Amino acid sequence: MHAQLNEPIEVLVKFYKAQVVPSFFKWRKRTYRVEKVNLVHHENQGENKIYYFSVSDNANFFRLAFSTRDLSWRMKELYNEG
Amino acid sequence: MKAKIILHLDMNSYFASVEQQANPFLRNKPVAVCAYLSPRGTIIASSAEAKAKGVRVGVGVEQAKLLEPKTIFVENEPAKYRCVTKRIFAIMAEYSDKLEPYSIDEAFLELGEWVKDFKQAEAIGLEIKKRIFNEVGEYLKCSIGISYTKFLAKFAGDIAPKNGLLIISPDNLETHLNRELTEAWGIGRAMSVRLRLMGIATLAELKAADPIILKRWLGIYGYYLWCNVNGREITVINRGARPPKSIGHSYCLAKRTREKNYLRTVLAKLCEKTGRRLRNLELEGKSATLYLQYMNGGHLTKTIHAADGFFTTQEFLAPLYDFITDQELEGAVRMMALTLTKLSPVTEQLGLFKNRLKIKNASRAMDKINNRFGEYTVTSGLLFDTEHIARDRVGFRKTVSFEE
Repeated sequence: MHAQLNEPIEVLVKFYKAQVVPSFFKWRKRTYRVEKVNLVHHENQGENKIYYFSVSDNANFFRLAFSTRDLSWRMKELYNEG
Repeated sequence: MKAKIILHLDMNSYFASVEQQANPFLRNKPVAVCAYLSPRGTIIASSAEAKAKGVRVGVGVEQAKLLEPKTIFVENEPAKYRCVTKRIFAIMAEYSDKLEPYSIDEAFLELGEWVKDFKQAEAIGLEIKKRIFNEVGEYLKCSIGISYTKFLAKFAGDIAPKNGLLIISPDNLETHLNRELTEAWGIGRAMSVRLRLMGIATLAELKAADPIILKRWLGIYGYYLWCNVNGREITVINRGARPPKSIGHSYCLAKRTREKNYLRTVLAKLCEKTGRRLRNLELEGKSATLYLQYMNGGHLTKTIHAADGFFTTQEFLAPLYDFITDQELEGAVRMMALTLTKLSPVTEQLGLFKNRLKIKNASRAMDKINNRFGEYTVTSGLLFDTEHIARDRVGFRKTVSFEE
């Protein structure tokens, strides 16, 4: 399944060696544990810088977006083999 | 003078590898990165697994599905690739002050002042590969070529095994030249035909040819080719990317049409995107060329010139807009491209008959607003509701820009 989304999520992050690493997030009333951060990239939308975290657990790929304008997190993409 | 040692790095299956790095569920699978996912979309990069099935750059989405039904199609995401490229080039820049980005996934690094011999250069090459693995992504692979001229470094990088490293030194140069002419950088199909007519069928034969005869038959380019395969340096490594010779954008239309309103809207979008890049680089262009490709073959080209140079979008959009309005089209248009050429740094010279300073400053003010609040915050009414037209795309252009 592959879905492009844009839904608010709650994220627990750790600050590690000058990096922000998402550890857990809550989406649609379910908590997911991030097993691996595969790639981080950013995009500028005017002065708003959005950081995209491509993360995965054992069954899913998620793309989480962090907006530096309002410090909000959103779920942008979901991919799994189901 | 110290002998040159140049390292050339070329990322393997770059855009597809970045996608596989981001999403581990795409790894070891045929992945094709497309400019657009529509059936008319074209593949701009494919993973090694897709390439093995014939799904290569330039193949259409429909054809790729026939070649390998399991292909996973991904729409390209320029911001992602630019970010990864920046990180890779930043690692390379730690080893020499002479880094020349050659394209989004290729760069040259001159190591002459920093290493004693090829052995030390090899150690740096291996270290860069390891750092890309550890610091950027474990699924990103690159080929590295090391040699004593820029041409031979790229040639080594091109013929090196995938994810490998190859050194071409004066001692082993001969052993690598028993190859097709077209395997060398700068020799295309047409040039190889001309060389064959001269009785030259391999790079080794080109090396052994008489440079005077090559120059007589092919002009100065023939002599340059001879220098290249003989390990004679005729170029330099530039610090940073070279300035562009042209700036432009193209768009394969979502609908094939001769409808003027739609074509003018696409034109306005291409002009604005081109104008933004032009002004970001603080350049002016003396010529603007519009290219329309018809669906059933044939094309239409219009070039306009400005003695004072084009700077604001409106300056080249208005005449081209009128051209489309007045022009009788021979059929439905499938592709539109706009290119600004004869670029030079922008001047603040006041015109004798026309003062463009106010117009330029108004354009700069609009750019500032858009930089701060996002693209198309303030723009021409023609661009209303055109987000889906000619979106941000990444090209394999040889002048690298990391601007979004």
